[in-house]
Amino acid sequence: MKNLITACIAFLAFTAMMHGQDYELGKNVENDVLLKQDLQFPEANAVVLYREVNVYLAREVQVYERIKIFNEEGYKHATVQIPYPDVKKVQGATYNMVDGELVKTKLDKDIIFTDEVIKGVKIKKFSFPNVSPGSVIELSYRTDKGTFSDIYLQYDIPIKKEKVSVFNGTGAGIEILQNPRAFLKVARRQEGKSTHFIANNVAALEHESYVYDMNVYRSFLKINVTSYGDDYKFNSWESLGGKVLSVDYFSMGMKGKKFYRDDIEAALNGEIDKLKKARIIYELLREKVKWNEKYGYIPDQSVRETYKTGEGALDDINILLVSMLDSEGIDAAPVLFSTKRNGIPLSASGSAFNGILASAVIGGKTYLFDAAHHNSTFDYVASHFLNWKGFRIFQDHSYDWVELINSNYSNKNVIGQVVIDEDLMVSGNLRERHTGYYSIGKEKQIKNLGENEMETILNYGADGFEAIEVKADNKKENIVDVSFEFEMDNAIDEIDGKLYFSPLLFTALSENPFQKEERKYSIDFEFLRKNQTMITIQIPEGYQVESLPEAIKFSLPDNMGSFIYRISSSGSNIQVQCAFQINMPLMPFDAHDSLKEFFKVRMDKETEKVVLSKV
Amino acid sequence: MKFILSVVLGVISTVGISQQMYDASEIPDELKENANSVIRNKDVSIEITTPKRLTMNYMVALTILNKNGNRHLNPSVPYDDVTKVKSAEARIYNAHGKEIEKFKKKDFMDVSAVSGGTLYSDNRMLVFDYTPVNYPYTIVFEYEIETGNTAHIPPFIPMGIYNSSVEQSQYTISYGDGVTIRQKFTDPKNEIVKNEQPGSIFLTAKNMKAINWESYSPGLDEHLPSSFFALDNFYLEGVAGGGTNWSEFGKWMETKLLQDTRDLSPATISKVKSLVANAATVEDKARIVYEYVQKNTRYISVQVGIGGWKPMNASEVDKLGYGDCKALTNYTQTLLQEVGVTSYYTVVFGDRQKRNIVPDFASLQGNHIILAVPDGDETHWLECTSQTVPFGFIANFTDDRDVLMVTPEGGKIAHTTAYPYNVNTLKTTGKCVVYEDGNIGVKVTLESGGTQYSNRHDVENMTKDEKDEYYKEYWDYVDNIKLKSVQLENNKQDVKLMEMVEFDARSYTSTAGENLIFPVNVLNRFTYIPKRYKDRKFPLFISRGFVDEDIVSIELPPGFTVSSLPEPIALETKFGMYTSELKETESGKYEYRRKFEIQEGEFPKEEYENYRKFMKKVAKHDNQKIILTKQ
Repeated sequence: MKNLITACIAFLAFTAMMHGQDYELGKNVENDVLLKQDLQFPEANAVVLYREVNVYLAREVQVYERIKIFNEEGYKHATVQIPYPDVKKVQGATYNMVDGELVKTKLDKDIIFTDEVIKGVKIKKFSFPNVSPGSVIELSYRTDKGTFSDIYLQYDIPIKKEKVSVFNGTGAGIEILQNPRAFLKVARRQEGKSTHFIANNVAALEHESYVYDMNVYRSFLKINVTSYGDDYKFNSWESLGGKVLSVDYFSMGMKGKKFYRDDIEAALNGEIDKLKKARIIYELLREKVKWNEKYGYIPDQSVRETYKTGEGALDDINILLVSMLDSEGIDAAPVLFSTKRNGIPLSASGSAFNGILASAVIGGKTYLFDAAHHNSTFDYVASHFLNWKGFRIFQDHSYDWVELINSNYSNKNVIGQVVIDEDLMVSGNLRERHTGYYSIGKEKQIKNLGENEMETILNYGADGFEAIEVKADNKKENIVDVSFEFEMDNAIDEIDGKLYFSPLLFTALSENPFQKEERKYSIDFEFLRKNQTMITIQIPEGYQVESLPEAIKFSLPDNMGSFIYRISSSGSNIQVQCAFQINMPLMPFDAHDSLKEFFKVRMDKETEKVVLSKV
Repeated sequence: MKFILSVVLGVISTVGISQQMYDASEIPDELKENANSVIRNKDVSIEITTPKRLTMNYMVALTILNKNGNRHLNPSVPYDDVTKVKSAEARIYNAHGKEIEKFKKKDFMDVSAVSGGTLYSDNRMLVFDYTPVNYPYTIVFEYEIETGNTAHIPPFIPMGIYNSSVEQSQYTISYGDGVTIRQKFTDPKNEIVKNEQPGSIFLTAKNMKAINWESYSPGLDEHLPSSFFALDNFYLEGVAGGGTNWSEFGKWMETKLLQDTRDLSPATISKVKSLVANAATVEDKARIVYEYVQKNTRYISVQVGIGGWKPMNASEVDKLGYGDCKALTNYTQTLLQEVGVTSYYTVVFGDRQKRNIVPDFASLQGNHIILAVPDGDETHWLECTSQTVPFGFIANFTDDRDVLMVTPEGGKIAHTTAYPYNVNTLKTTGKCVVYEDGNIGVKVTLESGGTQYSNRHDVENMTKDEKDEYYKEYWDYVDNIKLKSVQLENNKQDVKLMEMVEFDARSYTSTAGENLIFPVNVLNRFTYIPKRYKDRKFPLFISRGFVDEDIVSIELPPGFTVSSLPEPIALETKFGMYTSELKETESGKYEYRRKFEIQEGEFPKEEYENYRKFMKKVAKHDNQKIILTKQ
């Protein structure tokens, strides 16, 4: 696919046009060297003062950067690895003030290293000479090939001003998109075949918790090719769908075939329920064909080849699944989708999608399947595949959009029996049942462990907690049962003859994951989740319950999540129950304050103490 | 650093062995215990025909039992300008020993072997990439290289890593008439069978059980068998070298690698002379020069050819303002020489874990360079690659170990500064105000020295957000911290760091009915309890000790009292001591005093459980709570 694009471009003639660059090496550099601190970003160790990128599509890319180093911590930005291979005309210099005079040290050729990172790919690397606090460094270079790769608008240090121009003399149709998940104001101007972008004071990309991949939020420009002349247009979803359908491996692949029939019949063993049939076919395929870790939405081989060789890419495998379901009279169709890392498919282009799922309508309900990724099962498609919407293509060449969500909750249920003995030693046993995505995660942990490392699959970090005899049972699909016995020191505080302890013991939430003052990015809980814990505690002889925490129910706004805590006692037993639920897997960044409070309430309640006194 | 890379170099021969079946079910049970991988067979054969020519045939058959074993194979063949890869091949077998994939030499990727922290080096490697689908599986990986470097001979270390057992491992080294070889043989438990003939040595080890890592244990290399080799006369990147003892070896370094690199421009010489014009003592001069180097250079590592061992010229460092550890050390040494201060280029193993240059085995060792400045009876050790560490301060990376000092008279083994427990101090002095709603307000000063200074001084270079994260992490048992101010004073002369921090925390106390439960130790709680081992194998090893002292005044909300004060605690053990006490100073005001001391040392493995018990008690007392009742 990628090759096709490159080939097409290479054949297209382009009208020559070279725009003059705006930068000038060394211009007005003195003021920049005198700069002591950036007013907008006073904490910055270094800033990019100016960055200019001129992209002549299919021809060359020119880059210019001027960087100010404020202190030693900023030195690492004086060491450069040019992101494009095989660049030429690398020019650079360091500027310093020495005894009131501007001193320029040129970047000599002999300190520029060419690292052939992989045979045939040469990357230039160097470190600027004579760098000290206050230095300004300047760099320009050209690539000898045009490129359609993403252009970063945001770095790990602030960018004061940047200008990106894209000149399209290729005759190919393009569109230039800004990453919709990044909050950057960019001025955009179209001028004939050129598009100019200007942005000022771009803050550094900050790293936060509960984010799938920080690069998803980086500001960048994406250049999509929408057409090559008249016969290859991508400017609408229909044309993209048409293009995909014109590939035989796709359009023929989605139909039922004969070559696997005997295997399916044998596996079905007379089963007639459609959902059960689907499950059996899915399992058969997983057994037969392994994923080669490659992505794609246009199959590179026939379904027969995939089946016979037992190996294929994501698209090869799932189109085969559609075919196999279709052969058994199940209403199946392929769904093009984009992984979380690939971004949201906002406009039709060659890189809008990077995978195929199989969908099936059974009993009026739509099911999504992935038979490739290790983290997918029949009931749960790998969570990073469930990204917004997918583009479903039917055999009759019609299409529609399907929501890519899994409406099943993933559960973690915990049941424990605890005894506090006369020496205030706490011991007991606990059973955890993980379902859905929780079970997939646990399964992955368990799969490659030896017997004696079993305790590492537990996620309890409480001090004094020690698990013994950890056992895991993952024989049932989408369910992992974990059970263990434990002892716990330091769980009980004896003060003035009274006993104080948190009845949830080591299962209590001990740290608030949301502690930052501010949040910029949305919060990704990945899937709908429900955690329930019930613990029964037998108190030591000679003691009685003096006080119990109060019951509570607390919800996030718009019912995005809830927390319930209940506790009761009878005779020598205390029973505590709590339930935590997330009803919206991806929350907007402005939910952060509510989440912070929500988790604080949850943590305070879960660590609240029961008091026992002597009878 | 190039030294490290060459250690990875390992290997060779394979005659007919690949015919063998590698059925995973044939592995004896005792070799699977604690193992993530099993070396089924390893055969390394080295031939040194002349001091200029070494060939190595490497073959390993490794069964990988689970995912954690994947990293036990280094799927690469290292080479460089003087090293040629003559053959390379890898075959993958499934659990039953059936071949499922094969990589020929042309299927290997040719990539640059630039390790993290290095900008550029001319080391390259051929690598193959196999993604396992099922476990166990077996990789048979073999290659042959020919090199002109004989300064570093791949050693025989049958078991070098944790959780990997050895069914069989053999090693042959043969050498020509003009080659004199020395051997450093370590085999505390008689696990190696040795067969020596004129011109060749054959070593083999069998059925070694996998070892589990244990916390507080000494390094693996002290307990495992190994055999190192060195030549009296060798070649290194085309340069002849040699030495049968450290004195000769050091002399070679001085004359062939160092001597001609100490050049400086007249301008720089006069500049450095004027800098120290008013300095009287060796220490003053050295300090001024060291701080000048810190201010004007930075660490950038480039390793090309002999440049992996020979420093860049001092004049070049002066021009560029950067260099690697060799270059920056040599530069500092050259500057010092110009102001009449003697100093020595010193080879060391830089690592948090203390590792000696083997004193009685002259050979290419170490992975880092520091500078020794003798000053009367003492020696100042200078880390020349850091812009921030104080003069003469080397805690946590090159401290307390044997090093090779290169002097004009030859190499000498010396020992670097040790940081005993009583200099590794942290004094926590603060005030904590408790509010009726359970919130607290804290004002505290942390004063650190020794290794604790080393652990903490990076806070100086953090941004506001990073500091915020750093302190929330440091007091992670206090939730909902909101930092109000952080002030730092770094006294490099005395190597003391003062951190003055103010913060509020919501809901510090927990509630029990009407009462507040208040954990007494707010500012320095020890929460780590060492792991329990049913059958501990290694001695208890405490590499570095420390002393923590806390004085915190606590102010209760009006109307609250402590229903009863906890008993003072005093624990004394052979590992260290612990005391804590809460006293009422005036109505509603209390003072918490605590001292916790751990001394460095090595103890028999039976003591580990006692040490663990001590830690548990400390954690328990640090978790002491009191009840605040409202009148």
